[in-house]
Amino acid sequence: MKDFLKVAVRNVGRNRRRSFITIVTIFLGVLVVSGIRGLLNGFQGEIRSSLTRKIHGDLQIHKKGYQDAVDNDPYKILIPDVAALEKEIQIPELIATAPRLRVFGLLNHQKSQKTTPVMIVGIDSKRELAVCPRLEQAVQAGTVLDSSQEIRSEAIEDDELTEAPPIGTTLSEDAPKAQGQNGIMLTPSLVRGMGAEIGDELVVLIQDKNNMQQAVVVHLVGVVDYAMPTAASKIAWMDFTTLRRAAGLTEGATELALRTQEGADVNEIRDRLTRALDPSLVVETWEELGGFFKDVMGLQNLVFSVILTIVFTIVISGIVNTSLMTVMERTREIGTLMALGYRRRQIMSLFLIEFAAIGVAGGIAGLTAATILLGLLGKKGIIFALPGQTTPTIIYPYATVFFLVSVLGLAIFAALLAGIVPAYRASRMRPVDALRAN
Amino acid sequence: MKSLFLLLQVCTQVWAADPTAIVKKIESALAPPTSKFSYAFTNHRTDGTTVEYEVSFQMKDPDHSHGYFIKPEREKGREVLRLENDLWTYMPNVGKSVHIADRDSFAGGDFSNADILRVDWTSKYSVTLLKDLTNQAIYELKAKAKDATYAKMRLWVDKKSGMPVQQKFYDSQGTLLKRLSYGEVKKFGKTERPSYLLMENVITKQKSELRVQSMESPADVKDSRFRVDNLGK
Repeated sequence: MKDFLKVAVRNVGRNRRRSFITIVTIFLGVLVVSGIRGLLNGFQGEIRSSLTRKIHGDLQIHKKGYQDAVDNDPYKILIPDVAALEKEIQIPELIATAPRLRVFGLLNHQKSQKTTPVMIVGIDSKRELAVCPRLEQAVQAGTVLDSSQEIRSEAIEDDELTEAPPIGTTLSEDAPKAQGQNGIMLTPSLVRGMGAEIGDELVVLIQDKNNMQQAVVVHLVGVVDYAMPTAASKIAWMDFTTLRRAAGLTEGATELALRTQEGADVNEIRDRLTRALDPSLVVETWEELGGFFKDVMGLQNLVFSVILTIVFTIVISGIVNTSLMTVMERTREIGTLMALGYRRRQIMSLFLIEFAAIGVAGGIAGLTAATILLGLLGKKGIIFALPGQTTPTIIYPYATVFFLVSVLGLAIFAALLAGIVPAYRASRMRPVDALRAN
Repeated sequence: MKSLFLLLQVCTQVWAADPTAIVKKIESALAPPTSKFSYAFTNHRTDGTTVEYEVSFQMKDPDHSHGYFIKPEREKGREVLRLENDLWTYMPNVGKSVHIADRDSFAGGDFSNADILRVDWTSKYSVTLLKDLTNQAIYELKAKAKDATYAKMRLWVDKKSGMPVQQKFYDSQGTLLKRLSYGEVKKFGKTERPSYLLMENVITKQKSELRVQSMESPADVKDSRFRVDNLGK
C-alpha cells in the first residue's frame, strides 16, 4: 500500500503541467465556493444580528392577533400582566426581557409646525439595551433615550382661572403643558421631513385606551437608523412608562422581547414556551418576525446551492478530461504493470489514489487561500449597501470549520468521482493490447 | 305665603346655580333639537393659506345629525352623518360611505367631528362650577363616558347673558389642546346664540373659524335623512 501511495504521488509529479492545471481547477473551485459562502455568512450574520440585537430580540411574546391589530387597535392586544408573564418564562437560556408598547399617533414638530402620523414605540431604555444592545449603534445622531432621566409630570393645574379675554386675543405662547422632561428618538426620514434637530420640542398626540386625545411634550434626543431596507420609516421611540401613562394604562404591553444565550436554539425555546404559556399568547422567533429576511436568506442559500453545483460540475469535467488523457498516455505503462502481475483492482486503485492526491492538493490550497482571504475580510469588514438602505452596512465574512472541512471532502470526492471512469477503463485493458499501443 | 315665596326663590336660585342645567341650556342654544343650520368654515393653515367650506346641517337630536357640503365646488355633495355613536362620511367622487371617528378633524380643520356634530356635553361629561368670577363663571366638564373625546373641558359662561364665552379642551395630564372662543351673539328666530366661533389648536398653532349663517328650528326634520343607505341620494 505504501508503495502504491509512493507511485501514485510520483505519477502526479510526472506530468507537472497537467497536474498543475487540475490542481488549479480544484483550487479555484474551492476558493470560489468558500468565498461565496463566507460572504453569504457575513451578510446573513449581519441580518440576524440586526434583527435580534437591534430590532426584535431573539424571540417575542404577543397576544394572538398582534400582527393584525397592532396598527389599528393596540389596546385590544395588550398583554395585561407583563410582570407575571416574565416570572412565568424564567428559563435557563433567558438573558433579558424588555416590554414594549406600540401605539399609533401623531407627531407635531413645534418649530416647523409639521404634523405627521407615526408608530410610537414605548421602551424602557435600560431593559431595551439589554435585549437589543446594537440599538446604540443604530443611533446616528444624539443619544439613546434614557428612561432613568425621564421626569414624568403630574397633571398640571391651570392657573388661568380669570375671565376669558376678548375674542381674537392671541393664545398665550406659554399655554399650560405637562412639563415633564421626556425624550424621543425618531427615524431619519421623520427628522428630515420635519426639519427637526436634536433638542427640538415635539408633541406626541395619541388616543388613549378610552379614545381620548392625549398629548405628551417631548424633546428629540436621538436619530435611530436601523439601516434595514424594510424598516418602517416613521417610528418614534419614547419612554415606556411615559407612553403607557399617556395611554391611560397602569399595566400591560403589546409585546415582550426576549434575549437568549448566544447559540441557543430559538425554535426549540419557542416550542417550549408555547407549550407552557396561556394559549392566548403567541411566541415568535426573530425569523418569523422578520419574514422577509427569512425568505431572502432562503433564496440566497438556494442560489448558493446552484452555484456550488455548477462549480463542481465544471471542476469534475476538468478533472475527467485530464484523467482520461493521463490514462491514454500511460496505456503501455498499464500494460507493463499488468504483465508484471498487477491486478485490475490494483491498477484502478493506483489511478484513484493519484486523483485523490490531486484533490487533496487542490482542496488544501483552495482552503488555505479561502481561510486567509476570509480572515482578512472578516477582520476588516466589507461596506455593503442594499437598495433602499440609508446607511451602508459593514459585513464580516466568515466560514465555519465544519464547512471548510466539508468543502475539502467534497473536493476529494469530486476528484475521485471524476477519476472513476478513466481508472476503470485503465483497469479493464488487456495487457497485450496495452503493451502494443502507441 | 311669604315662606312659600321664599322657598320658591331658593329653589329658583338652586336651579340657576346647577352647573349641569346651565351647560344644558347652552347646549340647547347652540344646537336646538330639530334644527337646521348653515355654517361657513375657514381653516387657517400655518403656511398662511386658508380653505373655506360651507356646510348645511340638520339635527334631529344629539344622536342624529347630518351635514351636506355646499362649497367649495370640489367638496360639493360630501356628507357627514351621525347615528348615535357612529359617524359616517359620504364621498361623492367615489360614491362610498366611510366610517369615521368623533376625534377626527372636521373638514381638515381644528374642530373635531365631535365638536361640530354633537353638542351634548352633559351626557358625556360631569359638570362642576370651578370658579365664580365677577362677570363670568368657569365650569369644569370632566369626562365620565369612556368615549368622550376630551379628558376635560373648561367652559367660561357670561353670567348676564348665559352665553358661552370661551371653552378650553385638555388631555388627562392637563395639557391644553385647543381653545374655542365664542363671539357675536345673534338671534336666530327665537334662539340667541354666538354666531362666530374661533377654534385655536395650541399644539399645531392652526386655527379654524366657524360662522353661523342661518339657524332655524322647524317642527320636525325628515327621518329618512338620517340613514346610511340614503347618503348620496
